[in-house]
Amino acid sequence: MAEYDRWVDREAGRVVRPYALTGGRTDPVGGTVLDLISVIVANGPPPAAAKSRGLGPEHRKLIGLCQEPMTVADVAADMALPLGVVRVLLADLVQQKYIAVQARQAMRAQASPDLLREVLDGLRSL
Amino acid sequence: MGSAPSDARGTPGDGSLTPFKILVAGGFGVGKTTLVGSISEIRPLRTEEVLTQVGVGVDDLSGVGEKTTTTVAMDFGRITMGKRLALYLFGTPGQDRFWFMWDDLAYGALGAVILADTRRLVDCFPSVDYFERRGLPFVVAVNVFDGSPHYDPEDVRIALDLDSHVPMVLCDARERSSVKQVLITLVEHVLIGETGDAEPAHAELSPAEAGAEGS
Repeated sequence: MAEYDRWVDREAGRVVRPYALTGGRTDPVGGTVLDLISVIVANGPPPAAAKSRGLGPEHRKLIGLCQEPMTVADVAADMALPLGVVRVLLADLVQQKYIAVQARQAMRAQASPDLLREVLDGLRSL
Repeated sequence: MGSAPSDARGTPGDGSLTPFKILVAGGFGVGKTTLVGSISEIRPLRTEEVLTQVGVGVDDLSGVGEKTTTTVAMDFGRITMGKRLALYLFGTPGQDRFWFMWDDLAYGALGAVILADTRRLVDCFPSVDYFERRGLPFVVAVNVFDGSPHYDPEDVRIALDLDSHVPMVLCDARERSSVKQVLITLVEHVLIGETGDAEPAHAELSPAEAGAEGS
């Protein structure tokens, strides 16, 4: 995947202010803020540009990235975009059903002792 | 390389990804970045935080000036275990003015590591207060630098006014094996809190103290 440098000039800094990519919106649609490690996955491949006029290039790139389950933090790092911007864009895609949010199994309240022991085993074998 | 992405999709509990979040807190310059980097592949994660949420219209950032957003870079590392478990380490921004981000970071977290430098123990106080108030399990890892004074961990415990059940370990944030041990200590501590079926690593509560805590 091409380096995400379209809006970035190393010398001059960012050319486009980050929230310009969201049309100036700073709050995700529906008011739901995705957690850093919420797992998201695309419901299909990125749609053709002609068939999805509401989507910008970043939206399509996000759908492409989420062909496999990804965490929000991984997606933001891969996009090299600020977390807040990525959250707004992802919320658009969730609302339009391009992307699904998988169950938040990893919240501590739901971490079963068995799962924790699995984490311990994983750490010990590092 | 041959695994099909579809294997990992839509089958919770089977092929799906189960991530856990651990926070790495401590004062500015104590070695959080070093700690995260010595056990995981570290990547920068930027946030462009809007400082004044109230009053900023949903569709309008024009005319509100440049001071409404600030860029914060966080350390972010991932440890992948097998096919479905992943541990995410987030270094919390050290400066006081980024406190507003902590709730976001701490939400649903498994626990936290507070990295301490004995030369500047006072830097840990805000983190200890925060995690105690939030009820998030944490361990204190004293980063032993070359040339940093060696203290008995119990003296550090007293200095930080820590409860006796909070694990306290010495570590070298540069050493992978040492950091691994810190994380193991934390997850064991979380497990003890969840199940109560293991002995605390340090002093036990007396029945009187236990009763006081329960009431």
